[in-house]
Amino acid sequence: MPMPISYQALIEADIDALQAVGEAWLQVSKDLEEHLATLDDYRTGDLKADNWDGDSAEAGRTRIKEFAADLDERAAQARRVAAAVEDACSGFRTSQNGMTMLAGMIDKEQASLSADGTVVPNTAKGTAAVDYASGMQSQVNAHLEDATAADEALKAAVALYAETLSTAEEAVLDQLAAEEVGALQDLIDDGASPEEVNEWWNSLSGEEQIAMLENHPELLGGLDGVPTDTRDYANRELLEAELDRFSPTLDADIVALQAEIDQFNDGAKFLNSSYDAMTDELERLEAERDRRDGLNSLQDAIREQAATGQDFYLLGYDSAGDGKAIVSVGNPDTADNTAVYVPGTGADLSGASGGLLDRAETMALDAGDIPGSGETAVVMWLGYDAPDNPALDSPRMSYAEDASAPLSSFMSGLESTNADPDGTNTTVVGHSYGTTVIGQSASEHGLATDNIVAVASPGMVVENASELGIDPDNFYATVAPGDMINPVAETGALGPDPTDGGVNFDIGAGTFVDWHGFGGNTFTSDNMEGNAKEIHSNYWDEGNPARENLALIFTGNGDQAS
Amino acid sequence: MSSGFNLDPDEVDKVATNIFALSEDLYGSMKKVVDSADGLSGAVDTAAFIGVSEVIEAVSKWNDELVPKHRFEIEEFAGYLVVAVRDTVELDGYVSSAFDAYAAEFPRTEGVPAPELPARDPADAVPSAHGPDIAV
Repeated sequence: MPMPISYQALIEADIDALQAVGEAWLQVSKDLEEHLATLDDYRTGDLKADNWDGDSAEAGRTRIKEFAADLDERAAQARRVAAAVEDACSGFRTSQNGMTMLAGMIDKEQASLSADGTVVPNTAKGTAAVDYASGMQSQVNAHLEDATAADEALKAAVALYAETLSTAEEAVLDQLAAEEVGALQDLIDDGASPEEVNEWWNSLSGEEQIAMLENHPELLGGLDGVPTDTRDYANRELLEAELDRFSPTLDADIVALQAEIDQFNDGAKFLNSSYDAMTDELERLEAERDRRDGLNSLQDAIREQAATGQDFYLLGYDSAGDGKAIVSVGNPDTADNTAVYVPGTGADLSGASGGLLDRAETMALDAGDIPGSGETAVVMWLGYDAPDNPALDSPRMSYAEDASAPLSSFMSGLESTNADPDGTNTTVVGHSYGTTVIGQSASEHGLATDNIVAVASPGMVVENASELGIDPDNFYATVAPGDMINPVAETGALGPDPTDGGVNFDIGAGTFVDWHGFGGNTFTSDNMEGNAKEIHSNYWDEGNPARENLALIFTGNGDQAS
Repeated sequence: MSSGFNLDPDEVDKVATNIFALSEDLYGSMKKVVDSADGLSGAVDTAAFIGVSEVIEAVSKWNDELVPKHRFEIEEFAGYLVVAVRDTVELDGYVSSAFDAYAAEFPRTEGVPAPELPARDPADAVPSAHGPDIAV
């Protein structure tokens, strides 16, 4: 057990010197990010296949990608070390200042503060002075304990992030985690709310938090109420570990098995009992390969910084089925504005690392263009199994019903981990079936958000914006002329058209109904001269006014959206 | 095996030079951490502040082990480009003898040392499209 920091050591510590080291670590992180972006530019530019061809060239490009990935991991580590140092500096300064104030407050008639931090009573003043000194000593000790806790947290964080963890230190963290994991498991089993999870997390010492992160990333990665940077670290670790578990010979195994299968002629296929087993095995291996490739794409997509200069945060992922992923452009815990984008039909893991994430990045870029808006984090929330087929799946409510509780929990989690929840402008924006999910979740469980936006909605389950649990003035909807969703929304199958664009058809009654209005606001989007299907997806295209309108809403300027 | 540059050799050289420069930048930014950490022992009682002591240990590990490893990889690749563009024939992977032959041509800034690392596993050499490299 380390000794607590002494009074003298705390008072004399030059925290500015430590701060300077933290800033240098942060600069290393930024330099590394810049370098790996440059390397990637070479790989896809001067050294691309058009300019450098052949097997060795391919191997060379692969190698650039590999060491760029290593640099990226190193950059993240340096950034985390810098953050740990900054946290520690803040803790040390609080303790130092508290101690200085305390020293000034001591009533010299009653007691004096010695150089070693002992509060010595003036015995001439009797027991009152002894009691007074004892009280003051408790306060001195409290400041020293706080400083010691900050120091222990710094040690654990640096050891983990900078890879200096010794076996003995690891054993200490293992022990701490073993003592805490039961409490966390109980919370999870009891269905604790994100607020309760956050309360538990904040009750841990910094060292205990690091211990849990090192030992149980699988419990923390997807847990609402755990801070964003912690979830990101946990999920990246889990993703890396999952990728490592794929067989290194997977591609070769598929090729070899395919070659064996190709040997069978049509007659032999029916006569040979192993043929079916082999094709089944091939199917399994190919599914495995697709899963691996999807995860690789996700890892690649969040490797560097976003075009906004913000970092990506992986708040959750699941490779089962179509796959799920929650990725944020920027840190929603510290951003001035947060938008959570819920995609619709067809969304899957490959989209989460491709077009869907591009949209989130685009929205963050657009928000950054609004003067004086501060930082906007945009989360791509694919925390649900989206419908695959617009004709067969999208009319069904089951997807939205299954997504309802997770989305609500996620939003509550963001609220609980936000450094300034009252000062952050939060928006949930859905596209297509994503708006149905939002409507279901908002009306069933409630969404911790200031604004709700529906882009090209087929219906949001509720009949009026007032049922979404927010001020209807903070509800916004848009649909472009000619969007294929218009006739779908008109059916009212998933609820009335939130853009209130016309008369709705009530399927239950089998009649058109005279609609009284959904409420809220509408804003303009353009069809960009696409066909009905293209229009449904081009809201994020360059030049579409929907983009600026979204940016205005995200940044608290919704009254200017038009 | 076929391979070749469709780029002007001077362009390839420029890329290689820039990649070497990345390695030197890495050295430079790590050196700033080292320099700032140098004063830490006198500024904070590191016997009392075990976290600060860990920071110093981390700086040392990164400066002595981790960053040189990355620099080595980066420079090895840049060196490979220099070698490959001078040899008109395809190199079957990275050949250390050729690398050494052109080492004098690698751009280096005075005062920035080359990363020194112990000999490593030949299997890790670059780039090797078809199994182990010829020589390391």
